Amino acid sequence: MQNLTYQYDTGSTIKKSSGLHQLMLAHQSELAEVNNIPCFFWGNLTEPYTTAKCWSTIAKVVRSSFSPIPPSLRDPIVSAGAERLRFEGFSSCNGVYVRLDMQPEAIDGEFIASGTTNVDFNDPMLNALNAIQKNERVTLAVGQKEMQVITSKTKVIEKKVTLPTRWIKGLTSVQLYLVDMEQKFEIPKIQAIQLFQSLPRGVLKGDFFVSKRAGKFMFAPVPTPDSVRIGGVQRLRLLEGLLPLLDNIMVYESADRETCAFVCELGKMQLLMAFSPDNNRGFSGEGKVLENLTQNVPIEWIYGLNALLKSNEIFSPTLLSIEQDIDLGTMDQLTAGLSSIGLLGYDVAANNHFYRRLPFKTERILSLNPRLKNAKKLIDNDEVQFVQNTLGYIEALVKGSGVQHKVVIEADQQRCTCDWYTKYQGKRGICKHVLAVRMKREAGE
Amino acid sequence: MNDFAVQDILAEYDQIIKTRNLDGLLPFLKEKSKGHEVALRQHIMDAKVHWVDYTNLASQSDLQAGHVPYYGGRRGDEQQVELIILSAIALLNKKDIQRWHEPFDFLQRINRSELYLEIVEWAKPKWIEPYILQRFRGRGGDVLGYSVLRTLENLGIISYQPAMFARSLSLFQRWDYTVEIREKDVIEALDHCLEDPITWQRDIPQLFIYETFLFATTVRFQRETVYSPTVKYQREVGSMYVFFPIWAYLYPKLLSENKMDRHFFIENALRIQTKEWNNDLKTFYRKLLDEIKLNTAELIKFQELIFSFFQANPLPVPAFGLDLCKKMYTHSDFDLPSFLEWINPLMLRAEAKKVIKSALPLLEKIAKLNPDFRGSIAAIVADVFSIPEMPLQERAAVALQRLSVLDSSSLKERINAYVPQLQGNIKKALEPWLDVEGTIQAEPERIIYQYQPLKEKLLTQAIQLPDTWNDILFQVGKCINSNEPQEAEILLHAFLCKRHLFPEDYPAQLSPYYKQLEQIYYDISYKNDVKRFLLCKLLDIQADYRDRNYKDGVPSTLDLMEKMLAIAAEKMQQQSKLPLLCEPSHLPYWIEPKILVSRIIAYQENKESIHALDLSIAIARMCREGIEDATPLVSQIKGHLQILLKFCLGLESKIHLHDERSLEQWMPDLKGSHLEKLALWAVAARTHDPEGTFNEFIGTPLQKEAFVVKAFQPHFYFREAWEDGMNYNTRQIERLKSWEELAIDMPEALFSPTNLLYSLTFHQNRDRWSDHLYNQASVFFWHSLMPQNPEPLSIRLAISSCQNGDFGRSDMQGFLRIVDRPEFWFSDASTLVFACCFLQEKKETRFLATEVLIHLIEKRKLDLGLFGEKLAFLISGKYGVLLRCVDALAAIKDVSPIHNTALFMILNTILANLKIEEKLPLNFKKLLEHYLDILVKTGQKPANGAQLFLKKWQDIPSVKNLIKQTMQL
Repeated sequence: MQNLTYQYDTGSTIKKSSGLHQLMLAHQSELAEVNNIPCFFWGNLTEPYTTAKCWSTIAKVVRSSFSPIPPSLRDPIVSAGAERLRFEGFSSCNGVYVRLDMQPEAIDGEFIASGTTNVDFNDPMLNALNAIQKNERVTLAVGQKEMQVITSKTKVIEKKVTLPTRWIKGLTSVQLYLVDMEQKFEIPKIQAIQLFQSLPRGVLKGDFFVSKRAGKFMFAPVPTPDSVRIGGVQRLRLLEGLLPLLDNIMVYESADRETCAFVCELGKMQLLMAFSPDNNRGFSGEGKVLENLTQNVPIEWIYGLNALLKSNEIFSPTLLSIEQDIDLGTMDQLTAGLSSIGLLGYDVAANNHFYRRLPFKTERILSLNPRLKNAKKLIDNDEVQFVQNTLGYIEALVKGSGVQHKVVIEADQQRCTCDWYTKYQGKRGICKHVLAVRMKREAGE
Repeated sequence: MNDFAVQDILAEYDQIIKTRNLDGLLPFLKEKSKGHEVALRQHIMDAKVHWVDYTNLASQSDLQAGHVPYYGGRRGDEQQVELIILSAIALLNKKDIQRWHEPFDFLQRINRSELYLEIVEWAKPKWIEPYILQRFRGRGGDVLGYSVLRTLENLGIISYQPAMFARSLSLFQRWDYTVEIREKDVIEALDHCLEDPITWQRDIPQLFIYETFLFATTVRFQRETVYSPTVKYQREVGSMYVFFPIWAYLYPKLLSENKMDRHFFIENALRIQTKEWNNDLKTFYRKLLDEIKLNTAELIKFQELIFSFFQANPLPVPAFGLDLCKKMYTHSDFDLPSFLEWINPLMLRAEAKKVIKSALPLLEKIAKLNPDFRGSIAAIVADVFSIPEMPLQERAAVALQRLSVLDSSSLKERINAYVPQLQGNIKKALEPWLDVEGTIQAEPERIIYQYQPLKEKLLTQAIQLPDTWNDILFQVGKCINSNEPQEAEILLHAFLCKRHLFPEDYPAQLSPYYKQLEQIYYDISYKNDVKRFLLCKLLDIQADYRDRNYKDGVPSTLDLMEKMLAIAAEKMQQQSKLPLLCEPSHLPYWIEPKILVSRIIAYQENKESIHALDLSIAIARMCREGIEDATPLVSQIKGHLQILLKFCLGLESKIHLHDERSLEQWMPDLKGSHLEKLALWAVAARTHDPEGTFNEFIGTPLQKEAFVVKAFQPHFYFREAWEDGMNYNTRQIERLKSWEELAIDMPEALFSPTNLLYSLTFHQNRDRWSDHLYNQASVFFWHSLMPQNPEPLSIRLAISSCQNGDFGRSDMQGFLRIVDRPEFWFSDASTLVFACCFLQEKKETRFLATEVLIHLIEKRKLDLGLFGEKLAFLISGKYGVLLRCVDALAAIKDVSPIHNTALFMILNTILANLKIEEKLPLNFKKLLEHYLDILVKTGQKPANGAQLFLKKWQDIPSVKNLIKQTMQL
């Protein structure tokens, strides 16, 4: 599928009158039913300066790139509902994920509708955000509450945005990493500032690890048993602007020690920044979702959930299984499946999933993964042959380019002779050949 | 419309091109294009391919047309290209033209050519706006000239796009340097531009909203053509040009003509300072703000904005904010609480030392004026102690004493929280605020560091060998992907010992790997050797494999993988099912003694020849652990090999060398020359006694080889190295620069047998590129061959990667990782190489060196005296930038009391051994600051040698005070 292009009818604006900043975030979704909602939220920011700094940090992330992919403007998405606002975005290279969780105390206003949508972060708006000072008052509207009076001075500028598919793929993948993470450190403000001061300048090759030594947090090039690995350590600089404002930082790491997340506690808000294993690896290309996509989530579930849950509402598998009379045993798989198509986000600090339907068509999300698409093609073309298919051991031959690949699935190992498996040895998701074998097996063929 | 008519029109178009009839194009388009757009579009695209696109002009028809053969070029001349592009601009649609780059340059010229303008005006192409926006948003950020954009906007062809207009305006216009540009013309053009209200009312304000590079927009003049005294030209030393800064001229003019509100300008120029924008742009606006001289009322009006500079980057921004605050802090409307709230986080920024230092006097003055705020100001000053920087802390301590807030419990609490950060004698100065516990620490626990390397267990993890065909199959993939030598050796095991597991269709199953290997190139030499072997064997396990011939007969150590592969291939040909003797039994490269003894017995029982190289590597890899399991078996080994193995196991201490004939008799099953057999003994001896002397080899052909009779202990010294180059003024070859380089003299040896592992690359007058290691993987491979004696590796790195501090490659990081392994021990040379890592330019190397030093101190594995001497030798020889070493060493401070003791010992030895005659190296003061601090922390006094050095330099103003404090301890 091609990159998604959408167009805002109007740009986000910020106006100041009688000492009050009025920020209106223009929104846009690929889903007509979301697009038709004029306004999701309207109210006051209780911490305008901190909020503005967090938004600036999000803008910095979505405009940055740490791989050869050139940085380009991407807008974040916002989920409104359950008395919270959540802003999410990715760097252009998809290696850095940022999410601002604005808790109920951070906003004082009315949730007119629930949903998730793209919001316009344009230059003039960001300039105006930069001007917000500590003691000022700011109102926020996600969407237009009222029709704007268009004068010759406020000429409407339509803005076109092209979202690459990897950006959307990142949104469907990142929660699968977050759910796998555990808290390793809690770093108080002063120590966090000192840690960031010791962050090596310039671009450094190789891994760096945050570890605690003699009560001090520090970066080291060698791991220790309790250290946290940070791939592409200079990406942490994206957080520097928030250091004077935060209370503390919590550091999380995935079980495989590849990915990590820094959660900045900012009073009534939390800003999470997750980092892919390295600069040249994005959350979109890791194939994590593939493990869960071999079984399709029934489409009625997607629509059903939207009726049951509001955006940002906690997704409790146990409660849902009781309320909806679903077998509890299938809930884990269902949770993973729903995460893989972006219906669930994950809050590492609260240790729970939350519901949000990405502002993209489900067909688009399902068609994103080329490995999945190619695996389906292998099955459709009857290019998967089982040599042995018994409980606990599967051996199959799968057609490759000019060669036959051998796939062996046994115990916890899924091995293949293809380039992908050779290069990553299973560390970056399963290859299309293993995927095809699994899909064919699950289909009972 | 019939085809005949279309053909006529297309022919007429072709005729226009052929006759270069520029005047005829617009009338033709107006009269003939209507109704024939589709055919004309296709024809124009074809014409572009023929006339415009670059192609090979060597075809026969082109030769006949008189084009120069063999060269690429265009068939069309300038006018023909012009005709085709102009007709494309007029008729093509967005889809057809979006990939063409030529129209952009043509559009750029519409204000200079009536024809261009007329064509655009007549055609009003709808594609222009998306086309130029695509170029603007693309990687190059191309933009049309501002006047062109305005023309297109006025014609209704494009709409106003603020970001693009701002970028274009910032560049002002492209100046044509092919004609003489006069200053007067430029000034006229600029003044004329400011007459347009849309420019100054609508577009110029956008320059504060969209990031541009207007600070770099200049016009270039030759020096002598400049006359206006009012323009502040940018000058470059030695350049024949001066540069007219367009926006440094325009902004003051806008302000003086009241076309831009002064407050509007001030506010926006200030706001830019806190944006994530180009630092040069920020500097440009700061300069302008300086020039227009803000008055106090204006400063007060924008004080909140100015305060926010304290949290901005780069550092000149908070410094500028501070300067502005100095001008207004006495004003009655100065918002002191807000100022203090903003400046507080600045005090925690270690990189802002200079700004903080200049903020402290201001805070003192403010406190004097506002006594009620003394408490809050003192608390802010206290945060400075979070930065472990002695001069800064000294200044902060003075400020605290002047503020004299002695009874604040919160202040005391804050200062006490920073006690671990306090440097040198600061604690004394802060005594009034410190708790008893804080001051008690002034009597630190005396911990003694003793160099006491302990032997660590090496055989910790047995290697899992493949048991099934599937394991063998996927081991090929592991071997292709991994840089660990053992993955290739595990695969070799399968090829040698598990051939019975290979199914009949193994070539088909292995063919995906064959295909992968064909497309891979490794920058690691031993990996390419493995690749060559696998390409030979994957599809036919019995295929003939040969190693390369070495013309000079001496392979480098890194070529030994190829030699091992050749031995394996030979054994495969002979249908052997026994593994190589050197195959590791435990990760990463160890061989358990019992296993080696069993292998040799099996070789003898099966009457298989033993290769000298195979056995040499096996001996080098066999560690003396589990000897008791090997001892009962060793007697089963026949002949002279039994004596050799007993020697290797430590059961026998005498070296049994015999003449050629007797060695031949005693080792009949060993394949190798007499020299190689002697070399086996030499390797065995040097493996377990790396620094011993073996007089037994005197009189043998190996006596001159490095590491045979005695270990090679090179003398390191500094020699001058230089670079010559052409001086284009004098046309002479001159010495451009010279520097000191670390060097050694090679031993006398000229040749070594291949299995004399430790001596292979140390020959007189030889430093071949193939001996260099270049990367980490090669270092690991080298070490895997001789893990118990890292001395040759260290000396090789000293020769090829340590000449000066800027020379190091990633192989030095490989060395550091080896240093951190349990079997590593330090010699004179390896201590020197380790010391070199602290002065290397590569930051990654220095970080790793610090980390490894921390580990070594924990394990007492490093002789700190020797290490300090080596550092002193390197610093005295100006090996690298001193600050690199000082920072890398200082990073071990406060890791633990033993690390502090260790740092004290290192610094003591450095100072005692420095040989500096003329002047102290740059940043030597930093080293002395850390020395004083560590003396205080460890409760020590400078050692005698260090005192002698310090006395010598005690009158130098920059370090006088520090030395005085140090000597008074």
